[in-house]
Amino acid sequence: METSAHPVTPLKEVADIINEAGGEILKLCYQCGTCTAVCPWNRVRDFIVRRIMHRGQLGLIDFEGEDIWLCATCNSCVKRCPRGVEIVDVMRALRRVVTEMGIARIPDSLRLTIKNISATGNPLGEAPDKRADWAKDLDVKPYSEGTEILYFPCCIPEYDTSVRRMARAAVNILKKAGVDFGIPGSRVNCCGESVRKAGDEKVFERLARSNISVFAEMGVKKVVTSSPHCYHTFKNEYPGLGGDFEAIHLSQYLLELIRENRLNFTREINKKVAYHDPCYLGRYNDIYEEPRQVLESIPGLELVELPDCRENSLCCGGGGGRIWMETKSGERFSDMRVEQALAAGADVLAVACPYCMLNFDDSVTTMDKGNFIEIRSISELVSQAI
Amino acid sequence: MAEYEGVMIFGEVREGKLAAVTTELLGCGRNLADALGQELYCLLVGNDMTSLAGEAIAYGADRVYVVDTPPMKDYDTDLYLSVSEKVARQVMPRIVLFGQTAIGRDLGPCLAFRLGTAISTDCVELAIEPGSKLLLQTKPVYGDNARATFTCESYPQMATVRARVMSSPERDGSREGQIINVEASLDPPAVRTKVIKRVVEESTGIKLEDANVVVCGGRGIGSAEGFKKLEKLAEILKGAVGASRPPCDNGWVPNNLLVGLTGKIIAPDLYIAVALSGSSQHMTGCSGARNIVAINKDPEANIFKGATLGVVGDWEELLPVLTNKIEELMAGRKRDR
Ligand SMILES: Cc1cc2nc3c(=O)[nH]c(=O)nc-3n(C[C@H](O)[C@H](O)[C@H](O)COP(=O)(O)OP(=O)(O)OC[C@H]3O[C@@H](n4cnc5c(N)ncnc54)[C@H](O)[C@@H]3O)c2cc1C
Ligand code: SF4
Ligand code: SF4
Repeated sequence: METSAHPVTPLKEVADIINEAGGEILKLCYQCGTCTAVCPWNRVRDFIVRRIMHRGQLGLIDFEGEDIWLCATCNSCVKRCPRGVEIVDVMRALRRVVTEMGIARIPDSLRLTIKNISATGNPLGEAPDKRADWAKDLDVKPYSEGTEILYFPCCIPEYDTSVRRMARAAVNILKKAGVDFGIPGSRVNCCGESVRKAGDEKVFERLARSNISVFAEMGVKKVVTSSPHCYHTFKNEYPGLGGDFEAIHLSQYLLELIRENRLNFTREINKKVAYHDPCYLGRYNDIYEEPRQVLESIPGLELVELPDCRENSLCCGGGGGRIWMETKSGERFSDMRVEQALAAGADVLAVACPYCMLNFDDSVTTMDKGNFIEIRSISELVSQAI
Repeated sequence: MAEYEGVMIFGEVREGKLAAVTTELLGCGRNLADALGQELYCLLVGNDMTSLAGEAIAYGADRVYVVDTPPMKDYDTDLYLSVSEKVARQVMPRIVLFGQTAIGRDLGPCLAFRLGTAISTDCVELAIEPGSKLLLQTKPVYGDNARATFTCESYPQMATVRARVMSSPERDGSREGQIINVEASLDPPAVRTKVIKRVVEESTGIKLEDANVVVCGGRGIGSAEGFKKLEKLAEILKGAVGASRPPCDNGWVPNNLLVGLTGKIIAPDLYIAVALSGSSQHMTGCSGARNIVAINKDPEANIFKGATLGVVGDWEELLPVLTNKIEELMAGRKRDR
């Protein structure tokens, strides 16, 4: 403990492990506290990010406590840190110490999820050969060599029946636009993004390498993703491991289709729609305009802005593996976001990420707001209007 | 240098009997001692446990060291540590084993430190390496995804052992052994903690994790009063009540009844899901159930996909009928017997 009575003995080994695991950037921190101030956790409870940085420098991390599992990797602090500390990488390094050295317990639900992903290639632990079941009745083909586009829905829409709607809508749009596309079959795995943020670098690498070789074998050149998490990983992390294909998020691709006049809007949606910027699309990849432009091209639709938007978007709380961990009622960011959307007078909260959809759907259910607001993916709204 | 010999297990007492984990340790310790051709010792610390030393022998111990005195009635790290250290230094066992229990997790590492040796915690397999005669200590690592085996070259070789992975041996009342009473030299100033009071966690009825039948309610139950009706059914079936997230969030039931990914993961014989939709996170918690019976007014509800039996309808109408019928059948069963 850092009390005055006992001198602090820095645990050099732990500091070294953190550095080795990818936290050397930690040394840059000069303890200004900006990170704590911008972290969304501090709207609902104490989470002193600055102190974690300091303890990391000293090697005095409380690995048994819940703090190292809280970070939702929303990237708000990283964007604002005056010293360029990659705080999310530090958090990832701390989790790596736990997963790789086994020196403390991984939260049960997260451990189970990592185990599922590791064993079956998807977080729900479902059979790999059921990956394409969501589209059984839709007359879409599995991706095969020579097809222009691989539409990659992400495990959640593929396996979670309540989020399926976002992928089914995407298929409807792609078909109507006459796009030559296929969907993943049983050989494809989870992209591995949350596993990596949860600290399991080895499982991440295994998943990534397997996907990269399957994609290469099938001759995949261009992947359209539903999830900003898959998009970020494919675009920014796979190339380092040998990935050689183009990744683009569905919202960007929809805008391309609209610009090329390949989508014909025939119906109006006379609703007020608030768009929620997902962290991995916005803060991680600076994509703010395309989703808005897609929504604005829907006839009748009125786009309203939420108070915390674009660079300052309020995280839904699902990043960094948090989507597999319990967040107490009263501490859920997604509840605050739904309140913001209601206060903005929105009829619909539009999402562009499966994790956001899971969280907001749950908030609407548990807050009993189903009669006041709908959670819709951009793809659902577009699909409804064409 | 004196020889380290024999296997010593630290025994624990639960409700006046040897704890299950202790008989398991005796079984596993016996095998190790036999493999070494040495003796098995059991250390028992507590108060009023005269008959238990004989029990330890019946379950495989050759020698039982007993520290039986009123101050040792309840577990205290400092007291237990000082006597364990004393016995370990006198007896010089080659191997010392604890259960991976609240006491074992606390005392084991402390004792290892005092004796200047190491300890592997939460082992699921122990064996003697034929050549070196070292203790092979196997434990799960990487979140149960792999197993690592350790050896330790300092003595005693120590480990804590997970409960329920070793099997208890048959009790053999005719076994003979030696009982050695050890004087505890108590040093009150060395005792740094004082128990002010004990608070027993309140749990009524059968625990959710242990129940063969679970009646689980969702948002459609609507209120705490609604859950009373589920409790009645659970009581008749000698089962427990569970809930999805909304009832916990709304305070209709306590949070520890949450079933699901981030709640409890259970596998009862019968799971009755009432007015819950069957979200993926919820299903993670109950898909291991042998039979799922679902009541929901929405025929499209996801819960029906995983259900053995589904009833479409309003639970407020269906549940009383079901409860009465089951009550009748259960009463009939009692009469038949
Ligand atoms: C990170 C995270 C973790 C989560 N972890 C868990 C978890 O561990 N466990 C969990 O349960 N949830 C969990 N959830 C919440 C989950 O997403 C759902 O919101 C929740 O399970 C829904 O609960 P429900 O089925 O009771 O409510 P709803 O989905 O609203 O379903 C209520 C059902 O009751 C039916 N109904 C209503 N009235 C009646 C009536 N009179 N008669 C018959 N049927 C009726 C309706 O048709 C409906 O199907 C988690 C969510 C997140 C984001
Ligand atoms: S904002 Fe950056 S420099 Fe400031 S305390 Fe946080 S990590 Fe350190
Ligand atoms: S990434 Fe987001 S959740 Fe994590 S510490 Fe930074 S601001 Fe907080």
